[in-house]
Amino acid sequence: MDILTLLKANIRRRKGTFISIAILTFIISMALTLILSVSKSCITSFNAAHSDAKSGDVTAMIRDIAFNDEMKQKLDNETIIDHYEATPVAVMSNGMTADKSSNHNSCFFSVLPDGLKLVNRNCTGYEDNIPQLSKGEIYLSYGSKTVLKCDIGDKVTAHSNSGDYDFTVKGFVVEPTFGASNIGWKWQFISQEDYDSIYAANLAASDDDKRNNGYMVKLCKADGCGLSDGKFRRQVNLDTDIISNSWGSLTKDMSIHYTNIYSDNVLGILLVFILILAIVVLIVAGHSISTGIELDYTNLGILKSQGFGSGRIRLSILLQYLLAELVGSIIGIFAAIPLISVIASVFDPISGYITETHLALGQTLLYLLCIFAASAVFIIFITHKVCKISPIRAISGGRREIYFDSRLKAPISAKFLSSTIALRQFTSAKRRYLASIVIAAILVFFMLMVNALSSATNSKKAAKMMGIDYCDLFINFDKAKSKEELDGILDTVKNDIKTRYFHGGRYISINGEEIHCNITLYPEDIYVTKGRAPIYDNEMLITEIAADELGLKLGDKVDAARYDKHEEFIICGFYPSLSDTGMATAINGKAGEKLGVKQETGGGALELKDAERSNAVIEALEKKYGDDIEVTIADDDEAMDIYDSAIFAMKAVIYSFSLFFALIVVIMVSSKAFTQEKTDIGIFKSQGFTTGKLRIQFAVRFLIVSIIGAILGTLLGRLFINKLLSVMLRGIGITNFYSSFTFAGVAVPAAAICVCFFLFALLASRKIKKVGIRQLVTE
Amino acid sequence: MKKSIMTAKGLSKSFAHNGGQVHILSGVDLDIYEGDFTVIMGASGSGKSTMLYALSGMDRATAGSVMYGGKDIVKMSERELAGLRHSDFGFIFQQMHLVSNLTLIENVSVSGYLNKKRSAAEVREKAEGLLKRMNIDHVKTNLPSQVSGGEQQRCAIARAVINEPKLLFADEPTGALNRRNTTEVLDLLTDLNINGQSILMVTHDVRAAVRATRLLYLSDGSVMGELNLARYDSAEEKSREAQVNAWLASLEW
Repeated sequence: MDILTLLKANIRRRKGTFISIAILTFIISMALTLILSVSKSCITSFNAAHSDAKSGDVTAMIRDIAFNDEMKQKLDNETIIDHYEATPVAVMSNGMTADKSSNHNSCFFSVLPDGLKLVNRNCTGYEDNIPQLSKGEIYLSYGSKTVLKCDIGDKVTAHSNSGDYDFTVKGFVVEPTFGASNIGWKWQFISQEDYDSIYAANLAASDDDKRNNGYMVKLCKADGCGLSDGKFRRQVNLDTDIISNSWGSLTKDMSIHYTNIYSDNVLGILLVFILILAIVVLIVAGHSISTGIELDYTNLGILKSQGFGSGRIRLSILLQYLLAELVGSIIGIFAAIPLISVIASVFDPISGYITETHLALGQTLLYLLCIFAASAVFIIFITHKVCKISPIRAISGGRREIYFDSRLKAPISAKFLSSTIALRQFTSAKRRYLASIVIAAILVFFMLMVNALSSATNSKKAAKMMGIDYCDLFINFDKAKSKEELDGILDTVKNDIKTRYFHGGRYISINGEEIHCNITLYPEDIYVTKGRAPIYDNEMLITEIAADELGLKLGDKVDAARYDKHEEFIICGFYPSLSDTGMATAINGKAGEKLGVKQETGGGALELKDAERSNAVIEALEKKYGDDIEVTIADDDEAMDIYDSAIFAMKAVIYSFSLFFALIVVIMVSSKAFTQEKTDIGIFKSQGFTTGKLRIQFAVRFLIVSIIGAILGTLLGRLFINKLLSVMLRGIGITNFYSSFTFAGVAVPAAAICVCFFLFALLASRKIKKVGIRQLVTE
Repeated sequence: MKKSIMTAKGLSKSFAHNGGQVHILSGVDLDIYEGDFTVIMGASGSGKSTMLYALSGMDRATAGSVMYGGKDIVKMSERELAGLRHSDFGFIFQQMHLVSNLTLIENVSVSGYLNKKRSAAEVREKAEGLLKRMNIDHVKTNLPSQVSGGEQQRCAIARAVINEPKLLFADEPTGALNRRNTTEVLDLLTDLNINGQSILMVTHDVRAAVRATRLLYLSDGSVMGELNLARYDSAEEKSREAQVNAWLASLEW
């Protein structure tokens, strides 16, 4: 009961602190609930879509010629396979185009299998039934809506080796394996009549080398198979060669990874940010408790003299803060619930399925429990100073001086009186502002991090280091060109070219594992981080991620297989690549020939020494090669648009949270400082300082604090952001994140925090007006 | 004929308390004269500190006027009052109230800088001189917490006079000091007064009161008595003390 009385009294007297801690925890709790629930919703919805579509653990796109009786026999005999299902598909090798956009990756057309769901017109849920398709109609996978920028009723054209086929979009279905907008291959669905005619035309256009029809084979693990999806695929391939004989394949794990890549990474970074903000809340609470004990020194002494032990006093403080956190957390969870579906639906156009809302209550509570536990330990640690309060000393007014944790005397200048006094006040009580400095540094660090993310794709150097082909011009040929022909064409503008990107992507198996392989015609132009470029036809570059995954290092020999061809390669270097989220290799054109890939290209890209010369280069090439060549300026990258919008959203969240936290922190810290310095304020007023001057003086102190914090945050950012993001973005294939930290990129967050700290402190200093000199009177 | 530098008319101060009004000052009429060492005495709760603060503009009167330099202090804006504090008035508190993170010399100089009548160098020179005069120049770079109460109060006096105020207010300046320090502080104030400084001091200590040239007795928010004395002479201290005690006795002190 005594604790309860004390608790009630504390909360009543410190309403501001209680409310501030509750608000900060509210934000943390709401954000955690949102992040974890959206993440859970994405995974649950994906699994539901996968289950409805009866997708396999591995889906392979195999050429019709290879899916023969022998292969079927091998699959039947494979003990780790429960069953497999093969759907015949016609291949649109040259992709699809719509009015506003196009997809140059291969598309696989089949009739609609059972289990797929039709997205409703508002894209908010699913239709109960899927109407039959008529001739000329097509159901596109939902992710194609984003890629092709099309809608129901729009015309789309599919390009096969046998010709072009026009369709009207009848609707969008959720095809979970390849449905995400960031997966190149697409599985689309047409009427039986259309399929039959395209199949026949494709078959007629096929030869032994070039197959235009195939099968979408779904492989399902046997019940007792404990292998991961990746190992299952590898084992099946070693036993049957099905993957080596496929155009490509995708495991369910990879499909989840690619499908949720944006949501996972955006939510992952936000989760780290929110957990760091939770630490900020602990710092703020710690500062508040610490100064509260100093201000309450006498009262606490009186309590002790009346028989309250240190333990009970500490318990009452602990309960007060935990109660504030509990209230904030509960409100936060409830406030987040209506927002989950809104936030989750943001990712739908990218992930290619409709996200159903699932509240991750258990996980959220677990995180909050951890925060509460950390908070409790921290508060118990901070309140140890209660044990040192002597009742006699406290009652007799023997409180220790508030100032003087430092003897550093910054000079007072007559010319800059307010500013230098502010500096002195800061240097005299540095410990009091330590928490604010740390918080400002953390906020600036995160703002810099999100700036680094957004600026990375705008910098050529950064893009290259991270494995993005940063180019100025796209080149497309009417007919495929051999290496010699390409050399001749590029020779026309050789003085303008900096980097040549002419490579074809193929899937090969390395030691039985399917890996994307860039067969490049100009290996010397590849940016290599370790080792050297694959100059010889038995050399191979590999990404760090793939090397880690396959346990490979420089100089290792690997067996590379494509269809029925097997060759030995030496790992000659590491390179960054975003292909297949970093699971990639690269070989030169001659090496590609050994694996059955002709040294020819249908197009590529160029990075120029001077981007300003783009039009001159286009003119020179088109003048000489006329209709045979199409050169366009590379300024509209779909992938980058999505990336940029995701980063923009994250930037908005981190900036707004940071500034809001800055507001709460400044108000909390300044109100404590104000209480501690009431007497000094009165003294200054008695000497002729105006309220305005004192408010400026008060705010300048927080400006100093924020400047130090901003410098610290910037230094930490310079040292750790690239490394931290390299770890965090490994999931999308970036192992070598690079941001050059431009002046604007650093100055904007630092200035934003400094200005906000100053303005918020100025706002909080309104109370100075109410301080009367009369308070200095001792009757 | 003495020249009045401040005139209060009908000065009243009341506070709201428990739904009613508590009257601390009730229509006080008063003149403060140039060159005087005026001391206000009274029992605890008589309103003497309230009157001091109302006269100095540190606190606003509820009613009445305080005319200074042709202007009513009661009606002055906060900015005008701030100007008055660093140009015309000096103030000494019972609890010294030095800014705790400024050294003694800085506490004095900062008030000088505010005034802007002198250059920074001149202010520093004057502050040094004052601290020397107060006999605390050896601790001028110490923080208030590092010096004795007497040294702090002498610093507060130096701070109060750095801008050569026309009127120096002192609120029980010896209330927190021991006997030795009390004498030193009173000697300093007397010395200032002898050199022409007008002083208005509140005290309930007879030893401090005997330094006055004019004594006012406040009771129940009104001036109930006045005693004029010659300039202080330490040789006559005993007789002055007896005179003041007798006067106070007549007022039922």
